[in-house]
Amino acid sequence: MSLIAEVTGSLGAIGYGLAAIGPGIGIGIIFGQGVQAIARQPEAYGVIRQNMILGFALAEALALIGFVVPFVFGK
Amino acid sequence: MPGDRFPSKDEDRKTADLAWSAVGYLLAGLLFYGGLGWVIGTWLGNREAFTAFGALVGICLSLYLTYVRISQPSSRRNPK
Amino acid sequence: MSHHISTSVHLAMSESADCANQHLMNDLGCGFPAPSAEIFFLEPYATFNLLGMDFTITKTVVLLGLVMVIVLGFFFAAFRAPRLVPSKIQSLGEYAYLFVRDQIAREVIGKDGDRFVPFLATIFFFVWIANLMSVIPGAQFPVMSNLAFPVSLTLIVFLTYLFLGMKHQGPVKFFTNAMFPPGVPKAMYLLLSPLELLQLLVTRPATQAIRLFANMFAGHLLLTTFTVAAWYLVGPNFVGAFGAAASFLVTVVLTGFEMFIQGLQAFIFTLLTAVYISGSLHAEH
Repeated sequence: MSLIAEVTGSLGAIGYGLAAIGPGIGIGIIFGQGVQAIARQPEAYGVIRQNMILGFALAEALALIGFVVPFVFGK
Repeated sequence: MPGDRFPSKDEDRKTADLAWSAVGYLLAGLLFYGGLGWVIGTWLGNREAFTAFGALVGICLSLYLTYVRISQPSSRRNPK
Repeated sequence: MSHHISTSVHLAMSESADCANQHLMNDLGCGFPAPSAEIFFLEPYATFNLLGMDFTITKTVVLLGLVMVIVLGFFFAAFRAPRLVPSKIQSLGEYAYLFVRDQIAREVIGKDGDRFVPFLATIFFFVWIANLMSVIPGAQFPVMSNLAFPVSLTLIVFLTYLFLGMKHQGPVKFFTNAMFPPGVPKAMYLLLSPLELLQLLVTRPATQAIRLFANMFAGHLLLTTFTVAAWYLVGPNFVGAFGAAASFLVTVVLTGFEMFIQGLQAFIFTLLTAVYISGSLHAEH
C-alpha cells in the first residue's frame, strides 16, 4: 500500500475547521442578502430581520453540530 | 425622521436581544440534551449513538425555541 | 559547503538555541516553527506569596495595570475640572462618553439607559484599551486573550443584570418570565424550560466571555504567525526576499484589520451588556 498523503495530529480541530467553512459562507450570505433586502424595502424591516435571525440560527446549528462531532466520534 | 417607518423601538430591541442569544440557545440545547444522551448512553452502554441523538434533538428543540421567540412579537401585534 | 558549516554549528550549539533562530535557507531540519498556544503562557517577572496566596506577576498583569492607569488618567484629566467651554481633552472625553450614551445606551436600553452610561463607558474603554495593547509596540500582548479577564468582566455584567432583573421583575417572576415563553403548547415547557434556564444562567455569559477571548486569542496568534513567517523566510535569494516582504506586508495589513476587530469586539461586548440589562429591565411579556 502506498501512502500519498497523511494527516496526523488533532484531526478533530481540522475536521471542525472544514465543517465551519459551510456555515461561515452561509451566514455571510444570509446577512449580506438580508441587509440588501432591508435597503431595498425598509418597510419590511421587521419581517426580514426575523427571517434573517432564523436563517442565521439554522446555519449556526450546523457549525455547532460540526463542533460536537469530534467530541462524540473522535478517537 | 427616517426611523419612523420601522417597527416600534421596543419590538426592535426584542429581536436584537434574540439575535445575540440565538447562539446561546443552540449551545444550551446541545449541551443539555447532548449531556442527557451521554448520561443515558453511558448507562445503557452505547454512548456515541445516544450522545449524537441527544445533540440532534437538542439542536431541533433550540431551533423550535428560537422560532417561537422570534414569531412572538408579530403574533402579539395581529390581534389588536 | 555552507551546509557543512551550518551542520557543524548545529552540533556545537544546543538543540533549542538552534531552532530558535531558524530560517528556510539554513537547512537545519527544524521546519517552520509555527507559534502555538504556548505564546500565551508568558515568563513571570516575579512570584511572591502573600497571605497564603501565590501571586505571579506576568506581562499580562503589568499591562492590565497600565490599562487601568491610562483609562483612569484620561478620564480624570478630562473631567477633573469641567468647564462650560471645554478644553481639548475635555471635549475628547465628552465625545467618547457621548458615543457610548448615544450609540449603545439610548439605542439599546432607551429612556432608562442614561443611568447605565457610566457602567457601560467604563466597560467599553477598559476592554478597548486592553485589546489595543495587542498592537502597541513594546506591549504587543492583548490582555483579554487570557480567559480569566473576560470571565471576570462577564461575571460583573452577569451579576448586574441578574440583580436588576430580580429587582425590576421580582425574584421569582424574573425566572418564570424567562422560562415560560408564551405561544408554546403546555407539554413543550417540560422540554424547553431547561434550555431557557441554561441559556440564562450558563451559555449567555459563557458566549459573551468566549466571544471576546477567542477573537483576541486568534488575532494575536494570526499576527504572530505572519511575523514569525517573515522572519523564517528571510534569505539571500528570490524566495527569501519576496516571501519575507510579502509576509511582512500581510502583517502590517493584518495589524490594521486587528485594530478594527479590537474596537468592534469592545463595542460588541458593551452592546451585549446593554442588551442583557435591557432584557432584565423590561419583562419579556
